[in-house]
Amino acid sequence: MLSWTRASDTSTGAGVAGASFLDLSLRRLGHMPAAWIGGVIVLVLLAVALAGKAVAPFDPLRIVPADKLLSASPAHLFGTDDLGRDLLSRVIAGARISLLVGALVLAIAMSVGVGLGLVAGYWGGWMDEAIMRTTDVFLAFPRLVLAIAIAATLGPGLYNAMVAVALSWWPWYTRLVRGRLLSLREEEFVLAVVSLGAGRPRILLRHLLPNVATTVVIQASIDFGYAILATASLSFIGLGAQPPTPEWGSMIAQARSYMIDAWWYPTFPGLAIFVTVLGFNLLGDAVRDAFDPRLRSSR
Amino acid sequence: MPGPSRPRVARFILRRLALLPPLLLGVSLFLFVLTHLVPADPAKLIAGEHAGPDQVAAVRKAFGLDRPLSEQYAVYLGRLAHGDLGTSMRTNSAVLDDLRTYFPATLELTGAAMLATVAIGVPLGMVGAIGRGGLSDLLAQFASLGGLSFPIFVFGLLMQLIFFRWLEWLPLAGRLATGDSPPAHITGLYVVDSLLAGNAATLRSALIHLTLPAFTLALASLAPTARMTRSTMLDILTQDFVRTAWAKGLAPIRVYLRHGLRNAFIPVITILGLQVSALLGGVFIVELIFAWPGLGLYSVEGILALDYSAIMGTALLLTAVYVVINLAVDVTYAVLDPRIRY
Amino acid sequence: MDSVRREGRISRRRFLRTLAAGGAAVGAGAAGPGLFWTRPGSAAGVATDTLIVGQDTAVQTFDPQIVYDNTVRITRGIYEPLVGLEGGTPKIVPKLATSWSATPDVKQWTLKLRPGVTFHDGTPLDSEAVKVTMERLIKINRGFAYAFKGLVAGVDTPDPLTARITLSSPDASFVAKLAAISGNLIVSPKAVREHATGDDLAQGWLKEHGAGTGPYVLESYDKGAQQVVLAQFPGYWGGWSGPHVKRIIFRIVPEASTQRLMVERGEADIVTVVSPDLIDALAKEPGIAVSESPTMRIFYIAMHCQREPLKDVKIRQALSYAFDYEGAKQAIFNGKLAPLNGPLPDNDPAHLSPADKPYRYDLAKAKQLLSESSRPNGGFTLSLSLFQGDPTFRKAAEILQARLKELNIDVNIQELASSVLLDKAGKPDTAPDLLPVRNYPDYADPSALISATFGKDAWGTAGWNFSFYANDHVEQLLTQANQITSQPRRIQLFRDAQRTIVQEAAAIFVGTLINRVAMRSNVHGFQYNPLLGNTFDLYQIAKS
Repeated sequence: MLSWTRASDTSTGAGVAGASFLDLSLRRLGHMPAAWIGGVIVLVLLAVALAGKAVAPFDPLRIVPADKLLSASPAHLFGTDDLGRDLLSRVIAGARISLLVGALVLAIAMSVGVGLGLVAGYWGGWMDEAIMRTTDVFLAFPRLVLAIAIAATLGPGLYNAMVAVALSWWPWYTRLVRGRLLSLREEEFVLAVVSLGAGRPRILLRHLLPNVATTVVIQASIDFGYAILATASLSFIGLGAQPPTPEWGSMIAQARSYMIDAWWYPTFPGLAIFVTVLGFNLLGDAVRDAFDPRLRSSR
Repeated sequence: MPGPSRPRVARFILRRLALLPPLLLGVSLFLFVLTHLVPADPAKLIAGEHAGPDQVAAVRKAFGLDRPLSEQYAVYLGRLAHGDLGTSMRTNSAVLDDLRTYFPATLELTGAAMLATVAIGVPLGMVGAIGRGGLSDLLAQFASLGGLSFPIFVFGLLMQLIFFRWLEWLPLAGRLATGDSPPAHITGLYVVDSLLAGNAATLRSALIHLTLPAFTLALASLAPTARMTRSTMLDILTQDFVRTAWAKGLAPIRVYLRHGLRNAFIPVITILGLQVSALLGGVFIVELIFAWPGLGLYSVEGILALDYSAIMGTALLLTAVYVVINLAVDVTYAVLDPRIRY
Repeated sequence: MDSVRREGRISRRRFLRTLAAGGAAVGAGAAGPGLFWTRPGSAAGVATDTLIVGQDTAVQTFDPQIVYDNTVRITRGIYEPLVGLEGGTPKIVPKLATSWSATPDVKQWTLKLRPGVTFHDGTPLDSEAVKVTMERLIKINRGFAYAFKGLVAGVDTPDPLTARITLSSPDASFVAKLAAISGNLIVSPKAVREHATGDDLAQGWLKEHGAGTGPYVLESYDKGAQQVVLAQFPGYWGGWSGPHVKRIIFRIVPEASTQRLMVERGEADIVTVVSPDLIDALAKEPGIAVSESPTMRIFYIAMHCQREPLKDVKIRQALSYAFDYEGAKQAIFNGKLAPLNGPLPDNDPAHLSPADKPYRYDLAKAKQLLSESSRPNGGFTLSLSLFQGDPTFRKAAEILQARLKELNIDVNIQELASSVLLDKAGKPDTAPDLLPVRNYPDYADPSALISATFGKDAWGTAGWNFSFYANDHVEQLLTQANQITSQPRRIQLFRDAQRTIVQEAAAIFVGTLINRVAMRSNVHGFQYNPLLGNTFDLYQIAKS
C-alpha cells in the first residue's frame, strides 16, 4: 500500500537538501529502534541473498519423492515440500528473488512515474491535464486488479508480473511528485527565486528536484516491501513465478492446501515474506520519520 | 479556517463530474484493448472440452467475436450508451444482472472492512502519537506494520485455522449458513436487509459470517490509517491552539480528544477514501479464500475464462465507484487546504 | 427429530432455523455456530435426511443441453437420460427408455419409452420430449452436441411412447452415446415451449430452473449464499421406498482447503476436492470414509510430434525412459494410481498388457537413446504448459523437469488459465512441446479414447490430440475397426493401433486415475461410474 502523502506534508525550507539536514536526519535515524530492527532484518536478508547457495543445505530444486512432506527436523530445518524438496534451501533461494523483484519493480515504476510527475507538476497546462487524466484511468482500478489484468495479458511469468506491478504503480509516483511540485511552487522560497527572475530549468534543477527527490526516496523506501508483497500476490494467484522457481508467493500458493496437514510448508515462506516486508516497512517508516522536518521542529 | 468560496468548490465539483464520462470511456478503451490483447479464445472454453470447430465458431458468432475488434468495440459502446453492459459469456446472463447480484456482497464486505479499519486503525494511530517515540508508539507501529506486512492470503487461511478449526468461534466461509434463506432483497446487504426485516437469526448469521473476511480484508488498510492518524495528530498537537490548551492546564484527555482527534478526523477520512482502492484490491483474494460470492470472485472467474463483458462491466462499475469516492476526497481536500488551486 | 422429519420440508426448514437461533444463543457464551450451524459434537452433523455436498464448480447454467462441467453432478439429479449405465460398469441399462433396437444397417434406432413417467411440471413423458431434446441439443450446439450433430438426421414420433431416430451414417455405438454424462438429458417439451424467449429454446429460463423427470426438483439456487437446493420429487417414477435423502444441498466452495475443513467438521457430507494429498489427510480423520473406484481417466504427458526436437522418435522414447513413474505415483498420488500401458486404461477390454509398454524409469537407457538421436548431447529447451490450479499436473511437470536436467534438457514450465492454454494448445504452431493432460472416453467404446487422443482428425482442441500425432497405419486400423462389428476382431485392431502409438512414444503414459471421494462415514449408497466423469448417483445416496 502506497501511503499517501498530502502535498503540504513536508513543508521544508529551501536549504533542506544540504548536508546538515542529511546529517541531522541520519543521526535521528540512528536513535530510532524501529530503524535498527528494520535495518538488521534488511541486512540479514541481503547477506542471505548474496550468500545464496553457499548457506543452503541442499539444491532448492532437488526432488526426492520419498522425502515428501517431512516435518521440521535437524536434516531439514524447515521440513520438506510436497515433492520432497528442502524448504529451507528454497526459502533461502527465494530471498534473492524477492530482493530483485522489489528493486526492479520500483526502478520501473519510478522511472516512468517521476518523469511524468515532473512534467505534469511543473509545466502544468494541457500536459498536466493529459498526464493526470491518464493516471486517472490507471488509478481508477484497485491496484492489484490492474496488475492482475496486465499480468494476464502479458502471460504468467515472474518478469511479466514485475512489469505488471510496476505499470500499476507508476501513477502513484506521478501524483506524489506532481503534488509535491504544486505545493513547492507556492512556497515562499520558490516565489522568491521566481521574482528574482530565475529561469525555469534552473528553478527545477536547483530548487525543486532536490526537494522532490527526498520525497520520492522516502516513498520508495516505504514501497520496497509492498512491491515484494504485490508481486508475491500475483504469484499466489498463479500469474507470477512459474514452477520450479522458489518464489515465496508461488510456494505459498502451492502450499495453501497443506495448512492443516503440513503447517511448515506454507508457514515458512509466509514468515519469510512477513519478515522481509516488515523489515522494509520498519526501515522505510523510520527513514520517513527521520526526514520529516516537522518532527524535527517538534522535538 | 477560511475556505475557498462556495461557487468555486461547486464549479470544481461540476468540472470533475464532467470528466467522469470521458474517464469511463478511457477506462473502457484501455480495458477493451487489454483484454483482447490476450492471445486466447474464450469461445473454446465456453463451447466445452471436446467441442468441435463448428461449435466453437458458433459460439464465437453468437457473441460477435468473429467481427473485427474496432467493430466489436463500437458495438460495445453503442450498447453501453443504452445502459447495456452486454452478456456474460460464462454465465450467459446480462452482465448488469450479474453485477446487481454480486456487488452488494462486495459492498457489504468492503464496508465492514472499512469499519474495522477505523475501529482499530484510528486508536492505534492515536496511541502512537500520544506516546510518540516511546514504547506504546513502537508497539502501535509494530502492530499496524505487522498487519501491513502480512500477506493477506496467508492471514486469511490462518484466521480460518484459528477461529474455525481450533476455537470454533466463527464460521468458515460463505455469507450465510446452509439452510438459511437470505433476507428479502432490499439493498442486497444481508446485514441491512435482515435488520429491516427484523430477522434476528439471519442478522446474527450474516454478522458472524462477515467477521473473519472483513477483518482479514481490513488488515492491510490498518497501517496507512494508523500512520495517517498518527502524523495528523502529531501535526495538530504541535499547533499553537493546542499549545494554548496545554498552557491553560486542560486535562490531557480533553486536549487529545477535543482538539486532537476532532481536527485529525477529516484528513483521516480522506485516507480512508483512498483505502477503498486497497480494499477493493484485497477483496479479490479474500473472496476467494472465504467463498464470498461477490464481484471479486465473479471477476476472477471472468478473468480466467476471458469473459470480456464481465471483466469490462466489473471494472467500469468499480471505476465509477472509485472515481466518485476520489471526487469526494478531493472536495474535502479543497475545503481543507485553501492553498491548493484548481 | 423424527416428528420433524415427518412434517416435511417447510417445517424442517423452520426447524433448521430454530436450531440456528438456538445455536446462536448457546454460542454467545463459548463457541458460536459453525458454518452450517452444526458442531462436530453432534455426531451426525447435518440432519440425516439432508445431504450436503461441497461443490467445486460455480454454476453457470442448469440447462441440461449446455452443462458440460462439474455442474452435471447436479443436473443429473434433475434430469435423466434415455439409457443409463449399470452401477460402476459400462453396461447399458434402461432408464427413460425401456428397450431399444436398431435396423441391421445400424442407421435407424427405435426406442420404447417408459410409461407413467412425468416431468416435474406435470407433463407426461412422451416421444415428443425425445424429439424436442435432441433437436434442442443440436440447435444449441454446445458441449456434447458434437457427438450428435451431423449424425442424427431426424427424430420421428410414431406413437407417444415410441421414438425413432434416423442417423445419417451407421453408428453401432449410438446407444452408448445416449448414455453419456450429459447432452441428451430429457427436458420437458412444455417447459421449452412455454418459457422460450424469441428463439432461445428457453435457454434463459432453463438457466436457473429445472424441468426434468429426475428424482430431485431444483428447489432453489441462491447466488448470494452460493448454494443449490434439490428436493425430492414426490412423483418420481422410481418411487421413494428404501433409503434416500429428502434434500440435497450443494454448497459452492471452490477452495479445496475450505472443503476439507467442511467435511472434517461434519458440515458437509461429501466433498468434491480431488487433491490426493488432501484426501489422504482426510482419510486419517475419524468419521470420514473415502470411496475408491477405478476410472477410465488416463493421465499422460502429450509430446508434440510435429516440431523439433520432439519430432525425433528417439528423443520421445528417451523422455519416456526419463520419467520417474514410480516416484511420480508416490509423490503425486500417494501410490493410488492404476497402471496405464497405452492409450486405453486397464478397464477397457482393448487395453494393452505391461509387456507392450517397454518404458520404465531408466536414465541410462534414456541417455543411450538420446545419444542415438538428432541431438545426442541434449542441450535444448522444451516448453511445457500446465492447466492452472491442478497440483497433479504441476508435480508431474516438476518431476519430469528435474529428471530431464540430467539429460541436459531444460524444461520451461508455464502455468496458464484454461482459456489461454486451450487456445495455445489447439494449434500445432503455438502448442507447447509437452502438455500434461487427463482424458476420458465420452462413451463406452475403445475408439472414443484412441481417436480423440491420437487420431489425425483430433489435432489440438478439434479432439484432444495435443501430441499432434498422426500415423497413417494407425488411421487405417481405426477406420477398419469402426466398419466391422466383430468385437474380438475390433479389439485386435485397436490393440495393434495402440502398440504403434506406444512404440512411437506419442505421449508419456503416466497412469490411470483412481476416483477417490471423501465423505462422512454415515453416508451410504455412494455409486460411481467411470464413464460418468466426476458425478455420482444422487438417487442411491442415503445417510444413517
